[in-house]
Amino acid sequence: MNMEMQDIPPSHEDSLRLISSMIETARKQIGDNGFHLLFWGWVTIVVSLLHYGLDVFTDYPHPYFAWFLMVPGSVVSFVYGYRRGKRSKVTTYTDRIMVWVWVTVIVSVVITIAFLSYINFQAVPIILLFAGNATFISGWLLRFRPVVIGGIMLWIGTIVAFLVPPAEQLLVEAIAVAFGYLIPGYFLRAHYKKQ
Amino acid sequence: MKQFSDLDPLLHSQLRLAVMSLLISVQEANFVYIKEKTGATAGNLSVQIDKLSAAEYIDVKKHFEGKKPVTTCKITPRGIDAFESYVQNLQQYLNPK
Repeated sequence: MNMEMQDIPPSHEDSLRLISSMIETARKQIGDNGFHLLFWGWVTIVVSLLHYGLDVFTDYPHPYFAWFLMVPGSVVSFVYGYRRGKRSKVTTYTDRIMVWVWVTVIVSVVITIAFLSYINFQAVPIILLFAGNATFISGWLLRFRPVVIGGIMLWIGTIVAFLVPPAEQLLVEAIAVAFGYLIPGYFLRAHYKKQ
Repeated sequence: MKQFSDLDPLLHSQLRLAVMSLLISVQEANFVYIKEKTGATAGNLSVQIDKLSAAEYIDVKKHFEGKKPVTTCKITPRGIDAFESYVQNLQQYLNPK
């Protein structure tokens, strides 16, 4: 839009056109470049397979220690998100709500892990459930269908994980995350670059 | 053309209206974003942003990122009220009852 505007009153039709065009411009831009979906997708797949490999193929007594990789992962994710937020030219209400949606996942996961013995150590399906909820909501907030479908994939993963033995739950997790985070993450990145 | 006596003169200007329409849709936006989206020159935009800020329709914050100055704008509750009244008045004019 060429808008080297003068300080003169527009006609009422022009005013309305201008308002809708600017609101539409601000609304249709997706600020998410897919980094978090791709990063957490790969980290979760590596950690799940590492845990599975240590459990099934070695005598290592603490295969679940693989999950400690999530700690440096969280630091990388937080630092990246913080820096990107500071550098970004615009913050939408969607961006802000997305942050809080994912904060609820972190809080839910921490509470779940603290009380694992109370839920018969069914961490994988429960965490997939939380991730599915947040991914589904994120997809609607972004108005981006692949992420909505990603959320549904994680819910399907939750159901399957409840039905299989603990070791195989880790394989289900890796597959669910590949469909729930990675594939939508690549779609989101492609969409962001095209914008 | 009929003059709009009841339209807020501060908003009834192309660039200021464009800035307000952008800011009502987002949490906050910096100067570069507004300049890109409106296609305005830096000088003109700066003058109009100062006018909106003086009327307390927007809140303008300046800070440095490294050595680069960054200006961030956010619509205020007063700005939201003014924008809503402007749109209502415009609608009344377009659909007189």
